[in-house]
Amino acid sequence: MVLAAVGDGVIQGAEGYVYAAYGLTWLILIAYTVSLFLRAGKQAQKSGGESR
Amino acid sequence: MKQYVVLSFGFLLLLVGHVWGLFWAPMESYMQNVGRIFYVHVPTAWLTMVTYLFAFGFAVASLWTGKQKWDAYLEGSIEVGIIFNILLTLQGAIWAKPTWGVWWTWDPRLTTNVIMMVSFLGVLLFRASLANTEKRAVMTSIGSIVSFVNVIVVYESVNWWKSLHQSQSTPKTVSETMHIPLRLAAFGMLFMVIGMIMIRGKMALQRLEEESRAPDLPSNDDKQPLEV
Repeated sequence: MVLAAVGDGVIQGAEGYVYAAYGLTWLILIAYTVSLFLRAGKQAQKSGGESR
Repeated sequence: MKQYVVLSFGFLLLLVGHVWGLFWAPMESYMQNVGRIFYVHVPTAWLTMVTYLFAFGFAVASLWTGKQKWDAYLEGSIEVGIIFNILLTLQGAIWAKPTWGVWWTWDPRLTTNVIMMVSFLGVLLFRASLANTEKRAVMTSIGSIVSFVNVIVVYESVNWWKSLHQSQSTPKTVSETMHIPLRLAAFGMLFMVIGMIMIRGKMALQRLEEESRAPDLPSNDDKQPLEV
């Protein structure tokens, strides 16, 4: 009688999801920081050359 | 300048926390390497709620004092909170797929998180539609205070309802080997949030000061016919 394969109760592999989570986090945080930097510069210029 | 120093320090701490969590921390017993998403997802969750807490504080200060600077920092903290909230939702979906087998489920924690995100986004969008600065400040503050109730609901959702999502991460529920990278990542994100709010709040304050200097323009907020 062939028994169905039973897993050992742990997740194996799937490291791609880990890299995706870390990569997405850094991408969004860096992109938002860059956008803040650029927008702050523009706003400072509009306000009359005050420093960021 | 100091806001960029704070932000950079935050990035550095976060980098150390993430390198530790990715390469040095031991694997989680059931999730193995997938458990390492813990070091991005949990700090993001904490800081999303902390940012909205800052928004709540700025909203109360704005209503209480009527000062523009609190309204400006309120705008900043709502925007930063929404960015972290979107990130949190996406991280959660990435973690859910290998652990629960689905990208999304209408679990209480997930559902209330989306409601929280949409409510703060609504406050920001409504704010953008108001031309009158005083009305804008008051309505944003009230909207933020009301929306903050969602933060409590999200936090307690895993206790109040039967949730697939695990319970809150505390020193009692998290293994000791995970504490240091988790705290490094969390403090890293805290400094980043503070730096981001400082930058974004200052931008909003400069814009508000510009608006105060500009002559009053007719608006349709009070639905009066415009005089030509």
